[in-house]
Amino acid sequence: MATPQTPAVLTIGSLKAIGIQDANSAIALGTTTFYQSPSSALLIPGEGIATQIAQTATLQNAESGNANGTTFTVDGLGTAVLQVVPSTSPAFTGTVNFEASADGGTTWVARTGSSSAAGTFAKSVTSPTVADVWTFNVAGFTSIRARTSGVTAGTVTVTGRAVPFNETAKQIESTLAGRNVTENTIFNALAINDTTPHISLIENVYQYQKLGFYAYSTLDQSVAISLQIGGQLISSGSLETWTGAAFAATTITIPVSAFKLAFTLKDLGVDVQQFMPYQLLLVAACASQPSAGSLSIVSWGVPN
Amino acid sequence: MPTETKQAVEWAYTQSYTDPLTKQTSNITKDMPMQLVDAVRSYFNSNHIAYTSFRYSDLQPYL
Repeated sequence: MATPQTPAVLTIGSLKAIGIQDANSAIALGTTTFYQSPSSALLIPGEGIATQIAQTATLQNAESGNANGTTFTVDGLGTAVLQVVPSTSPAFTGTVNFEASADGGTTWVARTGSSSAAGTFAKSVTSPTVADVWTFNVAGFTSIRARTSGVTAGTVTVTGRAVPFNETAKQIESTLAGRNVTENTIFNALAINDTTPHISLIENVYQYQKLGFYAYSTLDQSVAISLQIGGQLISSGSLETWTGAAFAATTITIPVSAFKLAFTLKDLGVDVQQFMPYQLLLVAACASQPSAGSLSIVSWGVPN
Repeated sequence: MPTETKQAVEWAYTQSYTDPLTKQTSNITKDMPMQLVDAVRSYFNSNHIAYTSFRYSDLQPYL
């Protein structure tokens, strides 16, 4: 009979996992040692898999020439967000090509992403004049990169963050006006202390016929909210072939001290009569740096 | 997160919050994300502690 083993618990942020101690597979993460034992791992209900956490990388760092940049490993992750920041003086003149690999970086193919600023879809961006956040579905790919080409002036910096499928908002089933609804907290008390964009948790929304949001803000500055969508269209074809005609990005502004401010996908530029996105996330950015308060946004969806 | 985060959270638990609708006052708890984050931020500001943007999930190791 095997000797009873000591369970080990790993907590990273809101992610938790329990495994049975196995001296042959100890992993040290920070000050915690996690004893990996896949055959006996237990997951806390409602929590995620501890080994799947968000990854970040700098793909291009003030690049002034034509370069492949740093490969961003996204193996096992679902969505990647790339922030492209061009120089302004001199202005960046050149193209950033978004590419993905399914074989560890041997073969690269162009990959379509959606622009937060323009609400359009493209596999590259040429001579951008403002910083923008691009969202990509990277499920199944091992790596992505932001290759520069045709650069004749200025520099560009590209940073990335990729998240697993399970970094999605926790759901609460409830009723609203007599209908069953699902609530998701997609920004949970975000204390913004800068003017850079912040992305929300990813929400799977394909199962809803209607979707709305409530915003709560105690920030002492207004905050602009824009939409990123990903995945496939429900009605026809794939995101890769969609023209984007039904989606024109619209930014809404959450004022100072907003309490349960309601807005919808239509307010963000999505005509839900045309389609319902597969996944979405929101991007929050302040034009002026707040010094106090936080932002929460809760969605409510009516299932199909 | 700043090294003073644990103290900030403990201080936040000593603060109270008044609901703007019901006017009821209650102590801040770990189950009040916005009130807790706002109080922690207030502690950082009052004690001149440098910090970057953070969210409720960043405080969970200190709760």
